[in-house]
Formats: sequence, structure tokens, C-alpha cells
Amino acid sequence: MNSNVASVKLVLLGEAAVGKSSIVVRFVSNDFSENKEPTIGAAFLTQRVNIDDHTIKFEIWDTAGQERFASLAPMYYRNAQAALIVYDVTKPQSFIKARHWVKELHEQASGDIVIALAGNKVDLIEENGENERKVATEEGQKLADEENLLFFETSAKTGYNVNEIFLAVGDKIPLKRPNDNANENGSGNNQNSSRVQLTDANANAANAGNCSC
Amino acid sequence: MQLTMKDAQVESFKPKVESALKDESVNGDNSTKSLENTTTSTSKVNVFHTPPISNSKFDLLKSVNTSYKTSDQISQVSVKSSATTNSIGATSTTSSSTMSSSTTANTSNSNMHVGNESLINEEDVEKEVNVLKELPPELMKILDLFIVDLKQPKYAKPLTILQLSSVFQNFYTSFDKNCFQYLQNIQLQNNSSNSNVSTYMNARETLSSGLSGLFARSRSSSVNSNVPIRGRRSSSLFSSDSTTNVTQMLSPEEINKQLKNNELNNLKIEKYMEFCEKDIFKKIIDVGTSAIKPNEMLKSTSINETDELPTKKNNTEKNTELFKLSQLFKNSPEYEKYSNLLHKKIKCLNKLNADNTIDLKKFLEVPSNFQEEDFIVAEKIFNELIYNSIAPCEKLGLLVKLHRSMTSSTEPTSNDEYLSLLIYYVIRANPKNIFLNTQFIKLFRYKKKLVENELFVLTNIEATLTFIDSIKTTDFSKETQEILKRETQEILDISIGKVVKLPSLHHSLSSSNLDQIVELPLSDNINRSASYDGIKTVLDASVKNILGRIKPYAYGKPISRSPSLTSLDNTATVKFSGKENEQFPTGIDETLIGDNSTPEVEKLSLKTPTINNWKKYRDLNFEDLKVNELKEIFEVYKTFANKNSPEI
Repeated sequence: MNSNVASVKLVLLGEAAVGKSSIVVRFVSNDFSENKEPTIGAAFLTQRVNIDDHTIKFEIWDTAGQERFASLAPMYYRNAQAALIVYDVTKPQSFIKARHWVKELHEQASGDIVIALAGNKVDLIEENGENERKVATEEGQKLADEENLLFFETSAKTGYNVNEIFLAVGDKIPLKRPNDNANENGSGNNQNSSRVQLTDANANAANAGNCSC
Repeated sequence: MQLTMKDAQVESFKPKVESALKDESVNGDNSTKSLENTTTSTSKVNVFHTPPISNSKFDLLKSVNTSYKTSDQISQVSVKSSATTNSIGATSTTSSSTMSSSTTANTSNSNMHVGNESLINEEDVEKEVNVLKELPPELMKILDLFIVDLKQPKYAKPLTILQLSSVFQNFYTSFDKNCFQYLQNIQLQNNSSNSNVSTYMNARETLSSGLSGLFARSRSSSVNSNVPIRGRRSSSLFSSDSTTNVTQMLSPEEINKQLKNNELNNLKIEKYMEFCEKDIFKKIIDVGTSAIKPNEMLKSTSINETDELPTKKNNTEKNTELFKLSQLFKNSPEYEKYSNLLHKKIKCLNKLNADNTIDLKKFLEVPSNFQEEDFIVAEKIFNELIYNSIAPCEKLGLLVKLHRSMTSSTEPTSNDEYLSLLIYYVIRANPKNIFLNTQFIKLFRYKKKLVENELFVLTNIEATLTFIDSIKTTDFSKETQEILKRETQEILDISIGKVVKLPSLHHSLSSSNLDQIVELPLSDNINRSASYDGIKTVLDASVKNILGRIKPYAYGKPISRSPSLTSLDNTATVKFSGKENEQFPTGIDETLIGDNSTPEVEKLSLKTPTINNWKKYRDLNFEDLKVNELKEIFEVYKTFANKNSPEI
């Protein structure tokens, strides 16, 4: 049992209809076990991921992609530790919008936010050939290199690279250890900081107890 | 090319992740070995469930299908069809070898799922947590003390809403700690009454059993050098058998029991915090009149907004607020101004929609499968929110319920649709004081619990109101603009956010310690009583506090002498922790509850009393005092009063 769970707020950004919600639903629905975590349809979902010796609990916030809702985005990415910016590889306009989001996040979001760029719907290229592609992989990679982003081309439809992008984000998140925020009672991102501390202590003790040499 | 890209990214992964990914690309297996669903939070069983698994209304196929439509098509796609499912299924089968088919992935994932199993089951929760119906008297007492404290005239000027919020948040935090200590105490008592349980008491026994006990203890520590040094509490896991002087490690069952207890305690604390939030506002309503009536002087001091909260107990009348938020916000008039302007704007939009000047549904691109019945449900929830709920957690629960109803009826597939629907509902229902209600939740819900889906729905409703504020006449078609009357245009074109500047609330959602940001206007001639480490001795502090309280009653001039919330915390700490903090007085506030009856004190100086042995009660708890000792203390107090104020 891994009691070392860190909550990570991840916000989804991108133009409407690029597949933001689909990516996250694919990510969350990839196993059949019952999940009792709170969710709100496709707009707010949680998923736990084990990376090395720790568990990350992604709290995934969907944002409205329509242009008229764009000014509301800061309300959603406030205090986010990670952002997934999605564009559609068959729609150049969505890539331009993605560039805009990258710029905005660098300017407005918290400094240590981990940003991943996802070129979604690569399955359309598999189906219809390279002519369908309007944003080259190199373009996406170049933007990622310039702006220090994680970059994957994905397909929510087939699940291609969906888990990988979240795992990569989780891997890059600078995690706070429980001891780091022991005094931060009531932190918004670590709802059980004080109690996690206690559980950890007991968990350590439990491990110790198993060693009966 | 896809494969190349993928490989390039894989390099940045740590070895474990890397191997998982390799497995996937080579074998078509999926790396979701590391993905897991959770089963830990049993308290949230009744909230939501991950849609694709437990809620058939949210299947991935539909979501994917929707995202592949153009934006024009999106608003029209909302009904699931078997044809859609079939087409997607077919596509999956034709996927190339470089892309793992969703079906395959899902199957393998289910086999590789690693569960994070909870130690407690629903039965435990039902038996231990759900049976709790109210706060235990010990905790209720703390809540009462807080109410008493709120009513004290200790601030130089009326608190703004942010300051009041910080007072509440600090109380919630201290109450949370008190709940923990209360449960620990109960556990201790249970353990001590149960001789078979080898926890604290046995550990203590071992400690007193001399060197052997120490050796036993040090042995266990050396074995576990990686275990951080802990206080006594955790030593319960290393209790020793005092009769044999041999360290007895806890069995896995005992460890599990301990962890299970911790989980259950956490759930209980959550429940207590919920009761706390509910009771606190109910009590504020209750004491509103009773506190003002006996002493009209309180009114003139106007120290605390909560004193003047309306009292409408048992109000079952429709369209009357049970708890008038406008009263709560009255010391921060900008909120009410914002609320009024927004209400006006919503009313205007509502009217335009009602007389068909604008087609709100079309304008907002409300999902096409929206039914009128859905709005009726939403309207009921809004009514409940505005008129029949009091506590922030209740109100927030209703907003969550609203989202849930949207999820199950209209089945939005993204937040675009949630937002469109919410905006539509708010404009049509035009709930009174919706802005103040939102702000109330934001400021007075316990911050530690304002997380996850609760925070999301609150953000959604805030975004909704912000969007409504941003609607301008230019957003409508030219034909519509021509129809709009001048006064309508004036109402619509006003940017409330620019006209009314609200104090920044960003910290309220992120900061863990409001105290550091919001400064309370304590009228601090003496800081001692208003700080954590302020109270030095029982009598000294008690008497000074009493005197401090009395003075403003007589003159309507507040002086900070009363114990702050932090001192309430200390009081409670003594009660529950037993050994710790014994230097803090207990029952100070209980002494103070009745102090309104002595408003005649006029001028008091705080000099050292000359009564013999007046410090002898310093180390006692209030509960330990006998009646005659209390009398004696009262005599000391009288001597104080008479000596220092001979003119009275």
C-alpha cells in the first residue's frame, strides 16, 4: 500500500473540439475497477498514478475551449501544478491557439507549472494518410523545445500516448514530500497534509514492525 | 515516424516508466501498470463515480466522437447512438500496430491494475461514522466559546468580510485539531480500559519499568533507523511487554487496526467539521437576538457583524432567506453593490429572453438535448441554495448536486457545455444574491475541505457569474442591438468588475494561513491576550480578560482583553491533551460567559494584587475547581475590582 500520495492539479487547455475531454476520459477510463473518487462528468476527474515509489493523484480540470470563454481560463489554471495543452494535428488554427496558451501560462500561471503539449487525433493520419496532417510533428517538437514543454502526439481514440503523457507530467512534477508541508495546515492542494503525516508515521512504523530481526 | 517520436519522449522517463512503455510498444501491452483507481475515500461513496465505468451516461466513445466533430456540430451531438459505438469500435480494430487498440489496452489494464485498498469498508463507515449525528458536548463547548468570543467587543472597528473570514478559518483550523485530540483521547480511554490492547498504556508502563524498558525501546529504534524521531504518540506502535521485558513488535493485525483507526478518525473529523460548519451558522442566527436584547450597549459598539445577523428560525416561508447574507456582508458594501448590479444585469437578460428579444439557448449554445424539466430541477436547487440552506458546506453541496443533475440529464461532454448550461440556468432562474452566496462559500467554507470537485464547482459558478458580467450588447446580432432600448443597453454594457473593485480573494483559495495576510483590527493596548503565547497565568489572565471586557461595555469603547480564538484553542488543548500545555488556563471563557452582568466597572488599573496565595490556583484546571474555590477566586476578583477602582 502506497500512502505517499501527492495531489496534482492539472488543467486542460486548448481550442474547442481538439479532444481535451476525450484524452482525459481515455486516461481515467483505462481500467475497469470501480473508482469512488469524486468526478463531475467529463469536466472534473481524478486518477491515481504510481510513479516509482510514490503515487500521484491527478485532479484534472477541464476548461471551456470556446473563444468566448477564454477570459475565464485564469480562474481554472490558478494554482495548477500542471497543464496539458491540446491541439488537433489536422487543424493548424488549434496549434496557433496552443501557442497562445503556452505564452499565457508562462506569463500568468505559477512559475513552476509543468506544461505538456499534445498533438491529438494522430489516428486520423493513420486512417487517411499524411495529407490529413496540417501540423508537422517537428513544429510541435520545436515549440516544445523552445518553451521547455513535454511533447507527445496522441490519439484519444486509440489511447496512443495518452497514459504516457500523463506519466511524463507526473514524472516531471516537483513533488512536495509530506515533511515539506508539515506546517502548511490546510493547503489547498494537499487536503490531508496533517493526517497524511500521521499515516506516514504509522506506515513507517508499520514497515518497521514487519522487520523482526 | 510516430514510433520515433515516442521513443524520443521515452528517454526522458525514469527507468521504471521506461520499461513500462517499452512493454507497451513491443507487446501491445499497456503501461498502465501504474494506473490505479482508488477505493480509499469511503466517505465519498455517495458523490460521483468515474463516468465510463460506473456511469453509462459517460462513455468514452461518445466523448471521442464529440471531439471529432467540428465546433458547429458539437452543439448538436449529444445523444448516444449505437451507430456511433459501432463506428468507433470498427476504427479501433483498424488501428495500426504502432497504436494500441483501446479494447486491448483496457483488457490488459484490468489485469494489471494495482489497487490502493482501503483498510475500512462501508460497514465500518456505517457503524462508526454515519452514526454520528451531532457534535459531542466537548466539541460543542468549543463552538459555543467561539460564538461567545465573536460577540466580544475586541476590535477597534467592524471587521470587513475578509477579516471575518480569516477569523472563521482560524477557528476551523483549531477546531480540526481539537477534533483530532478529542478522538485521540477517546482512543486512549478505550485502550486503558482494555487490558488486552498493547498500545499507549503498555508503552508507558514499559517506560517506567526502568533500564530494561529503555533498552527494549532503543532496540526497536536502532532497527528502524530510517524511522523519524517521533513523539510519544507513535511510540504506541512499539509497546513492550512489561512482564517479560522483551520488546513485542506489533503484529500486522495490530498495525492494520491502528491504521484503520486513523482512517476512521479522519472520517469522523470530516464529519465533525461538517457539523461544526452547520452548527456555527445556526448558532449565530440563534444568538443574534438574544445577545443584543439584554444589553443594548453592544449595539452601539457594533463590534461584530454577526451580532446583527437576522434571526428567522424555523422559517418555512418561501422566498425568504433563512440566513440573510447581505447582513453578513454589510461591512464590505462593495460586495452588495456588485451583487445588486449583477442581479440587475441577470434580470435584464432574463427579461430579454422571456420576451424573445434574444434567444438565450442559441446565444449560449446550450446542448441540444436540454429539456425544460432539467431547468425545473436546477431552479429547485437554486431555491434551496438561496432560501433554505445556511452553512457554506450545505450551499456548496447543492452546487455539487446541480452539477450532478446536469451530468445525469443533459450529459455534457466537456466544460464548454457545463458552462453554457450553468449560464443559461442562472440567467433563467435569476437566483437572488447568487453572487453573495458564491462569495460566502468561498470565504466561509473550511479551506482545507474546499478542494477537488467542490472547488471545481465553485470555480464553475464563479466563472458563470464572471461571464454574465462580461456580456455586452455587442455580443448580440446587429438586429438585436437595434431592438434593445437605451436603458437596457446601459445595464448590459456596464462592466461590474471594473465599476466595483472587490478585494483580492486569490489568497483565500490558496493560502493556508489567512492570518498572515488578513490583519485583524484588534484594539491592542495589550497584545498578550490576543496571541498564542499570551496567557501566562490563570488568574492574572482571567481577571485581566474580564476587566478588559467590562470596560468597553461601560463606555462603548472596545479594548482588546478577551482571549482570541487562539486562546480558545489553547483552552481546548488542555482539555484534550491532558499532559501538554498545562500552563494554559482552562475555563477562562467559561468565566467570561457571564461577564456581561457587571457593566458598572468604570476605570481599572492592573496592578499586582495583594491577596495572599492568589496564585495557588494557577496550575489547576477549571474543571478541578470546587465551588468554594470558585467563590474564593471571585473574592479575589472583587478585591481586585474594589482596590483598583475605589470610586465605584
